[in-house]
Amino acid sequence: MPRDNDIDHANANVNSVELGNGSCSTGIDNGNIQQQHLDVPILEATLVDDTNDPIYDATLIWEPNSTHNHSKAKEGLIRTKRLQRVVGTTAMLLILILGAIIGGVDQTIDNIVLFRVSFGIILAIFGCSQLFVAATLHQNRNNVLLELYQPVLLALFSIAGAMATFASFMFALPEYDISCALRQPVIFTCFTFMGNVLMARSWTIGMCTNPTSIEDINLDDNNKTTTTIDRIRMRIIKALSRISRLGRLISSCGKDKSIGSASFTDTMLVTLILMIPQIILQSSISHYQVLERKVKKYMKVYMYANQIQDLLFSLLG
Amino acid sequence: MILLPILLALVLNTNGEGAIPDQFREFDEVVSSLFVSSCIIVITLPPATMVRDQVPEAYAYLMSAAVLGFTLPWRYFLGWKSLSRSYSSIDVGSGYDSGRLKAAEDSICSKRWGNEIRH
Repeated sequence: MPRDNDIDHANANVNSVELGNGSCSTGIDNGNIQQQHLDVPILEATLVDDTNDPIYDATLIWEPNSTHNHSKAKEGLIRTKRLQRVVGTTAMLLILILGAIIGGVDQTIDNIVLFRVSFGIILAIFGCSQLFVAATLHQNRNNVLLELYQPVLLALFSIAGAMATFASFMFALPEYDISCALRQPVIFTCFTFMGNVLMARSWTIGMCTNPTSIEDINLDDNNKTTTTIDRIRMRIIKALSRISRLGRLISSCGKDKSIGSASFTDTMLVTLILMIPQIILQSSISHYQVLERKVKKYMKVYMYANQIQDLLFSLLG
Repeated sequence: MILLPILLALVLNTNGEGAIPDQFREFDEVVSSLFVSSCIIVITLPPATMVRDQVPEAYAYLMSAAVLGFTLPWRYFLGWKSLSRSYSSIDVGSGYDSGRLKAAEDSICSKRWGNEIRH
């Protein structure tokens, strides 16, 4: 391949110049060459000498240092990166300033309002960042590599995290009964949901990669090749498969009894069924708290009534 | 009760030699996020219980830090890392990994094909 200098010193004319769009291959990621169709300008030129014989024909693709040949993708990328940097830096500075404000708060009424506002903004920043991740995951759910990570479930996972973050604002409102009653159930339920999503994702991957071996394996058979941890894993996966079958049976009103592979619906059914104990526990605790408060209230009324009765008796008698 | 599904997920993600194929594991990510979460919870929860009655604001701040310390590492290690990994591998046009992106851009931009016909 000749150097540029060869062309510069040649006594030559440009015979034909053709400008168009084309595609090129980019060698990226672990040596896998991937064909990427980019809308890049291509300059095709042929150099000829005095007798019109061609000396050199060249195809030039997208000059890197040229300011004119920036594609839309590159411009968009630069803009996105700048925006990310600006938003990230502003959020970090804001968090630092609000943290300093919270640190200087003492217990006067105005300062409590200031604390709540600052605290709310900090939580909103973190919650919104989690929602942004969830939205981006959902937006790119058809991305080939991201499909392996089950992006929709990951988005739900991120949304649960955002809900827990927003719910922790209720710690700053201790004077309201409703905030005291709700904060623990909401946060704990979100945490449990996150754990269940992780478990259901692992189960789905196990079922998708090798469903027959998981269904057919005999756990009572003391095979020496399987370790204890492996046997525990098999038991968990089998239990989850049974829960999935149960969920399918319930959702189809007892009609569907087939053993299928783990689809998104099955995974969600497993997650929701696993949520039931935590929901029951949290709701019973909340009801107990409400009940306890009511009993205390009635006890107080009963005590007042007794006191009035005693007073009346003492007055009368 | 809260930790049970997370621990079971961790057991499912461990590497084994048996019938379950050990592909697509996220064991390292789960362990890293659990480690960070537990560190933050160990730091924040004891002072939160200590200042609960004296300074309610500090209690609120520390408790929410514990909640954030639990959710944000999970979100980062599982959600954000998966997203950025797939971005840097496939979507060159809007990638996040600047190093890889630069290499990919260079491979596109600086390519020149030429056929020498006659000297």
